[in-house]
Amino acid sequence: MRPIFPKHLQDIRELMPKLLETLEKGRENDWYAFVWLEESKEMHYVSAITEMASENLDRGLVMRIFVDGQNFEKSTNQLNPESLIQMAKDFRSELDKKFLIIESQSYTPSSWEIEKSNGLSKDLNDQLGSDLSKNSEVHFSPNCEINPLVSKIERLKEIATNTRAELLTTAKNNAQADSNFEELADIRVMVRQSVMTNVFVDREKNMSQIIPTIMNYSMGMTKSGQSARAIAGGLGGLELTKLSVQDKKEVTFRSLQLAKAKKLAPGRYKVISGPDVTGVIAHEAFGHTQEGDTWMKGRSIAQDLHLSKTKVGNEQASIMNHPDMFSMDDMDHGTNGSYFFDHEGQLARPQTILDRGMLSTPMTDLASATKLNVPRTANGKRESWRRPLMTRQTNTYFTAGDKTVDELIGMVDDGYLARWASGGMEDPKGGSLTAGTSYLEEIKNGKLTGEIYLGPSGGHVELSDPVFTLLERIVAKSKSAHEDNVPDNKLGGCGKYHKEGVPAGCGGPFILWESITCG
Amino acid sequence: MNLSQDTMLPRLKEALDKVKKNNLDQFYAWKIVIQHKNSLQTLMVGKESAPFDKYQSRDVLDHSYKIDVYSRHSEPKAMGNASFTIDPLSDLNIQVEKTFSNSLMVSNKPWDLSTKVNGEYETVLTTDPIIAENLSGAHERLHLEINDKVKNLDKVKVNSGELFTNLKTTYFEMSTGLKGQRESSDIYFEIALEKLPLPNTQEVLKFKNAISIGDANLSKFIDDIVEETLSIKETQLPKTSDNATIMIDGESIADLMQDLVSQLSAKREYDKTPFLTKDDSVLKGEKKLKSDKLTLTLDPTVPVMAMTTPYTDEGMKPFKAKVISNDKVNFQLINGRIGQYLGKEPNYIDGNIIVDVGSSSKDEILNSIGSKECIEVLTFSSLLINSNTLTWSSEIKLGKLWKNGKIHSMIKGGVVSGDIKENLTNFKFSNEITKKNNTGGGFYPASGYIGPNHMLIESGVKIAGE
Repeated sequence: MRPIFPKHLQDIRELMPKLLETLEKGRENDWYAFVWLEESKEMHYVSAITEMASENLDRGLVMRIFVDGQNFEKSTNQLNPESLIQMAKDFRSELDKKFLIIESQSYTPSSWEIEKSNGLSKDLNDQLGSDLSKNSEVHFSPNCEINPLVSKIERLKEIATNTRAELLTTAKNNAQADSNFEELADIRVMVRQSVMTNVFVDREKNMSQIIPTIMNYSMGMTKSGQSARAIAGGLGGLELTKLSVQDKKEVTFRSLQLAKAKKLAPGRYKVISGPDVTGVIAHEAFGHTQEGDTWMKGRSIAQDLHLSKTKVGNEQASIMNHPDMFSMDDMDHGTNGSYFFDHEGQLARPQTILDRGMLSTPMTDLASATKLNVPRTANGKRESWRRPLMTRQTNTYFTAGDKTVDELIGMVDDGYLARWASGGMEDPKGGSLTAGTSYLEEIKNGKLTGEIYLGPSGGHVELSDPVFTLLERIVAKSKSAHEDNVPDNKLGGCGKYHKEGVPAGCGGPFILWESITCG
Repeated sequence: MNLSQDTMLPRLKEALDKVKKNNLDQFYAWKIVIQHKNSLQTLMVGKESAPFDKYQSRDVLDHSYKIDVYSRHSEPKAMGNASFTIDPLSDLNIQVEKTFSNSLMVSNKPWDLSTKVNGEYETVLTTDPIIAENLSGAHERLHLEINDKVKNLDKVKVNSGELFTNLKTTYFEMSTGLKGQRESSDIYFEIALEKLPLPNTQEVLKFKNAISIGDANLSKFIDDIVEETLSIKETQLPKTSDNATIMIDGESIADLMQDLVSQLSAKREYDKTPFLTKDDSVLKGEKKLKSDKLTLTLDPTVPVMAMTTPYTDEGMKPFKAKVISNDKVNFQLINGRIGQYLGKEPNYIDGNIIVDVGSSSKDEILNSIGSKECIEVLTFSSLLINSNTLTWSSEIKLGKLWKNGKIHSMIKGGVVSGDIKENLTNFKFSNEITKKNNTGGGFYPASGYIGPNHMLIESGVKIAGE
């Protein structure tokens, strides 16, 4: 089933075209306006030594006028119609006075007819009605087994409590079975559901989308502070909260093992990254570097490299920006970076941002696409109505290869497997990256030895290299079970440089890297 | 702005009291938080020797309501609590009922909420009067200050800037009788620039968080970044080392101290996560004789700092205390709830981190290590600190390699990692004082720091590089 548009937002949806008219009527040739509504409903339950339940509702509206290459915005959560109409009038009056004469040509949005002729993916096409006009209320939502709009926090509690009880029992048995291990200090399980509803209205479109995400985050911690985690979830309903057998082992056994783990000697090693770590490398490597606003500010090395057609990686180095990803690998759901349109109403389409080592034009929002004179993509996102819009990543992943994971491991005489990500950071101007991994699993003579290693100081391990060096060192990649070869993507989040947190899925295959600096 | 006069407040209290009346045996208490925030946000793109061009200008009005409901239920007695952000346009009774019902799902060890404050709230300065009086005027004034500086820069290219000026008022009231209001201002400014001529691959990105325009001192902030940018030369990878010597700045010292202080929280003891308690040493390994010692105070009263506050989250008066003295813990941080859980007297110690400075200047410290190599880390790519293990690591985004008191080369890349407790066995603080604020939100909790601007670390640091 696909969740339908919630009735309680219908009144404000009907007000939005009126607000748009106030902002734009009579000056359509001078500027472009839209109105954006977002409602975020989040509930979570934490089962741990200290329990917690919380439900949050956040609803806000943004009025945007784009004129002479600048975005002007008023945004508020004071949503009674009278104050919104007054705000729109005041905003219009302010800009009428400020922009008596316009220097640059206004932006013209695309009609539904043009959008359809440019092609849309099946998940979008299937939800478009017939006889589409600028006044048609179009609604998009992903397929879910369990309707997230009717989920109750009681059910979240049940899942969290049962998961924790099962994991605690297993961990206790593990510790009793091996005298080397202490009992875990605690297992903390958080189940969180978030439902984001957006409405976008401009002169050509009136559309809405529901983006539900669910997550079961389970973590085991020892008294010495070592921890291991497992995460289940994605774009959909409660059906996605089940931890796999491997996940449960990670929480109950790996955390105990980590308390006894060896420390890695700092140096360069052959490494296989799992989808979680691969995704962070994709996101930090040519993800941030290919963000249009970073290009616009002269802060990325990618613009010159694109223009000079410089190759920045080997034939295996291909990275996708894929907002309309609603299935992946062997799973029929997307992840939290997926949506149908971005926060400026641009419809989602996939884009290859790095094609066998060659850089494309960047991902963009409206302002950067206009300034750079490059195509718009669906990458205009904001943390919330409270924050500015920027070019942001959706789902970023390395394309899949042709090997099995066992084959990749078999290719390593002496090296490590990095399965779990632990942060990362970009340097779009300097072209370096760092991606953290919680620990490394040792590989000797083509086999996992069972030994695990923490970083040299007993924390996580940082993987770091200049991006070009790294992308030249992809040896092989694992294959995907997906019909369109989309690999596994994980739930993820991104703070651009250090703030503005947005959901951003990332992933890819298992990748064997010839060598990476590990410290 | 007096939020105790908010027209929604009596309606919310009425709805809460109605649910309480209908569930007297289980409904224990409530708390209402009202927040009003105005934010002006400007995003800018730079040009050579010219003022910034604005490309995004935002005006945000945020007025919100949140409730907490506390219940007592089950046998043996358990305490439940749940929070809910209120939709002012929907039925309040339904939302309060829902929150009460959610609280019944939670079973924590019971604790008593306080019915009176432990003293009178102190009058503390948390707002810049200039911002409070005229937010848009203050924002414009800051913008002019930035542009006056930027348009005259000719040896660097300014790539981008962001300026946020915020004014927030928060009011709380509890059914137990506690109530209070505080106003706070804050400024966020970031700037990215690079050395001319172009093209180059080294950019300096720095940000400043401040509570007042005076403390922000954006002209000086830009001058300092320009100086740092102009000092950049060709870089090289650091050498791999199992026992490196590094120097970090006030920003990074503040981050390390913040995580160390987090282990003083008595809540960690209750939650069975690693913690420090009275008389514990903050060291791991043998203390070197020549090393400085750590003395750290928490102070909630320092004017215009991020952690300055008249009351704690529980509505109690916070207290100043020297929590670490000569590397030894004097006090855990114990609030009312955890005090009751652990059978310890609550002390409500909270506030900004104040670290005693050292006796030598940065230059004197660097000279004192002679021919030993020291990497001064100007910028970490992303300093990740594990508050459980107190270990940290990052790529070096930019650094200077010092030898014999002189800069030998610039450093970029490689991974540096360390263990705070080992680091504290062999370190020196400079005698230059700096002030850092982080108003919180997003990825970081709020924090305030006044202390040394440099720290030389000679133990517990490893580098993976060349």
